[in-house]
Order: sequence, then structure tokens, then C-alpha cells
Amino acid sequence: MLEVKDAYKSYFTYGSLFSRKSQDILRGVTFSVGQGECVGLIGESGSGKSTLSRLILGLEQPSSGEIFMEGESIIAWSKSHRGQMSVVFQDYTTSINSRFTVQEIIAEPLSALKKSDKLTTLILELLDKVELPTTLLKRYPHELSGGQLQRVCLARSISTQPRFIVFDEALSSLDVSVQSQILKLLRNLKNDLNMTYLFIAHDLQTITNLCDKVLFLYQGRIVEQLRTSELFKAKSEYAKNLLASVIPFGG
Amino acid sequence: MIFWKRLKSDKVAVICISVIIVVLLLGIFAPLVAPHNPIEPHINVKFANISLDYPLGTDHLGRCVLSRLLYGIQTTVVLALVTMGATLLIGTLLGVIAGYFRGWIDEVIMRFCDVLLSFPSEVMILAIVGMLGPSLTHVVIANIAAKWAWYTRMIRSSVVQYMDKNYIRFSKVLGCNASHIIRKHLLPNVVSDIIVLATLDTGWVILNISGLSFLGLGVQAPTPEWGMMLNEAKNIMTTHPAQMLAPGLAILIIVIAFNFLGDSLRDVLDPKYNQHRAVAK
Repeated sequence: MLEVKDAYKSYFTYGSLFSRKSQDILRGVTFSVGQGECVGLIGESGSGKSTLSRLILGLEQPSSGEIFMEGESIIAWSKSHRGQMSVVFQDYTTSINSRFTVQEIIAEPLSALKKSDKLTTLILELLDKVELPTTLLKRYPHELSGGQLQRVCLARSISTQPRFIVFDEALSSLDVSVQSQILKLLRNLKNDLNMTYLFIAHDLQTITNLCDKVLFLYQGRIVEQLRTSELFKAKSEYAKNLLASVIPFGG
Repeated sequence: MIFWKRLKSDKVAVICISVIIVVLLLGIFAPLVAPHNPIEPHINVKFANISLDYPLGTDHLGRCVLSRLLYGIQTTVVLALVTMGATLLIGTLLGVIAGYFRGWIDEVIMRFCDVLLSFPSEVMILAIVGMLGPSLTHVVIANIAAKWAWYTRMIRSSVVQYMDKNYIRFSKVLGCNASHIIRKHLLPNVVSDIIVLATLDTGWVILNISGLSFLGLGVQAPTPEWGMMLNEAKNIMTTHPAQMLAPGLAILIIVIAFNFLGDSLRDVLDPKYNQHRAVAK
């Protein structure tokens, strides 16, 4: 479904007056995600995870290389397939317009894409799916807790029944009990709606919990791709270190 | 709707709005309310004291000060509002275009603003009025010309700041078009940032129009205008100092009303308003 081919991305950093230095964030990233698959992308801070997600979402263009969705370039695809790609960000406080009520937040994608018949019943269904009480409908974001807000974001992102969702560290800002709740929810949703996930995180446990395949991003390159069941076969130094540091706790 | 409810619960805002509305109404209905013709001189009653016939006395030409104040609203306050409205309109339009689309159009608009902003606004206003000649319309044009670049810049930087928010990224990922994002996300946020400044600035514009009239560059005699009235009172400051009181206080009151209204609007437009209030109590 998603294909990233040899993507490079570099940003300018401020050098002296006449020499602008550029810094490579991504250096030739290649991978693919199949329909219905759940792929985890793991990497330390600064490895280029968020940059990669912005490229995949079509918010920025790669410096070189190409990103395809179902054979089309990502920009063309997202124009002809409105509402079929979605995203949940790490920072839920800026993910939501603080002037909207919960109802307006969840309704926004639907009304923007003019799929507004039976809006209220749909919103109630979505709230039910993410296990939020309907009493929250008229509340404003600052009246909700972080876990509730992130679930509102989740409800919003699945409202258009997208086929592809990017989770950009969507769980890192939540505490562990809420994380496990949401993980369960995501697994159910994936089975119900046959969605494709790209799950970006910096800790291995959430990813192994949910994903079929794990990509290790290190210094702008994918250093290793493994199926979750074959994690012990890791060859690269970075993946091995990461696994070694987790397994004693994770079992 | 929630906005009005909040505004109503803010005492200062209610008082300021009432003052402004009453002043505007008095201005509109000046021909009905004013006891005398504001222009016609009666030399035989010049510098009359406060009396039933002349509630605020008369000036050096024997014109009723109250009537002149009331007719002056039409020029001073209404022109200030027109100036502010036009400035906001231009600023929002160009600011949103520059901030949303970025690229070359942003560069063009911003560099042009930089050029305009490099002149002190008072100098610019004086230069424009000086070139066009003293008249009311020219004062308004000069004020707009001096202010729009500043507003465009403010609005653009506000737009740029909101463009970075995840909810706008989300709308973009989803494939929402520009008009949806601008209408639903940008304008409500940007306007509520800017409306506060605009209200505060209305006071500044009133002072400016009055100031230019005071210098003899704005409204021409005998049209009643508050700054002009102050100017005329200045000439006889030593013999009849009380002449300055009425127009001076009028300017003071309306400027204060706009400034305090701006302050209240800033609180009321904040979605976390009730939270702040709860903490304050």
C-alpha cells in the first residue's frame, strides 16, 4: 500500500553569511507497508522519525526519493482520496482547536468532507468505540484529561474510516494504564475496520504489542526490518542493543 | 453565543460597551439631541457660563459647547471606527494570504510592509496629509496607510504560529481545502488575537484624528471635532482654561472605554476564561 523509495530529507541550518550548511535528517529510507499490515517504526530521538512521518503524510516533500501510495505519488493520492489517510499526533494539546467542543472536534473531518448525514449518531458511535461517555460532547478540550483528549483525537482520526493511519508517538504522552487501554482499542479497531497502521514510537514494548513488523530507524537510515516474531534474529548493532535493553523487563 | 454570555458577566466590559453605544447613539441623533446649531456663532454670548440654555457653556464664538461635542462624535468616533475597520480588513486579508500560502507572495507582501514600517507612523501620517492637503478623508487615508502594514505583519505572524499547530496539520492530511482551514481554524483564532489590539488601537486613532485636527491638518473649521475644539481652547488657555475641559474629558472617556474594552475582550475571548476566573477567586 505505502512505498517509500530512497527518501532523503535535509534541512538548512544557519551557517555563515554565504555558506548555508544543510543537515541530512533522512539518508535514503526505503520500506513498504502492505494493505492491512501494522508496521512499527522505532528510533531514538533525533533519528528522523517525525520527519519521515511528515513526508509520508504529504506535509513536506522529500529532498530526493519518492513516496508512493497504491502506486500513485503521495500528493496526488491524498488529493484523490480525501479522508482516507489520517494521523494521531503525540502532542494532544495542539492537536485540537481549543475553541471547539468535543462534538465539533469529532464532527470536523466529516463535515469538512461533506459526509454529514446522520452526523450525531455517528459521533455517538465513535465516542462509544473509544470508550468515552457521551456527557463529554459539549465539553471544551481544557476540561478533559490528557487520556480523554487523546481518545478524542483517536475518534476524530477514525471518523472518516481511513484506510491508513499514522500514529506519531501517539501513546508516549499517556500513562501506562491508559496506554494499554488504547492499545487494546487500536487492536480491535484494526480488526473491525481493516486499517493499515504505521506506528511510530521510541519504546519497543508498545510496538511489539501491536505490530506485525518492526523497522529500526537509526541516524536517518533503516538499519533493520524484522517481523515481530523474529526479533531475536536482529543483526544490526543498534537493534541488538535496543532489544537487549528491553527484554529483561518485557520478558 | 457563549461569547456574549461571558461578556455580559464582565462588569467593566458592559460599562465600556454601554459608554461606547451611548456615545455612538448620541452622535447619530445629534440633530435631535443637541440644543443649538453647532456652527452658528453668537458673539454676544461668548464664554457663557454653564446654564440651562447652554449646559456646557459656549466657546469664543458663542457656540454651544455641548452641541459641538455631540456633532463632533460623528466626525471623531465614527471616523475612528471606519479607519480601524478598513485597516483590519486589509490587514487580515493580506496577513492571511501571506501566512497561509507563504513562498514568494509572502516575501512580496512582507518586504513591502518592511518598507512602510521603516517610517515612524506619525511622520508618515504627516507626510501623507501634507501631500494630499488637509481634509477629513485624507486623515482617514493617512491613518489606514500608516497602520495596515503593522496589522498585516501582526496577523501574518499569528497565522504562521497557528499553521504550526497539529490540528491544522490534521486538516491538511485529511485533504480539507484552504477555505475550510482558514474559516474554521485560522480566522477565529487570529481575529480574537487581533480584535484586542484593534480595540486598544481605536483609542489611538481617535487621539490621532484629534491630534491632526489640533495641528490644523485634519478637520477644517467650522466642522465640530474634538481635537479642533481643544485646539481652539488652547488659544485662550490663560484666560478661559475651563474651555479645554469638555473636549478633553470627552476624548479621555471614549479612549478609556475602548482601552478597557480591549482588555476585557482579551479575557473573554480566551477559551480558558472560566478557569482563570476560578483561580482568581
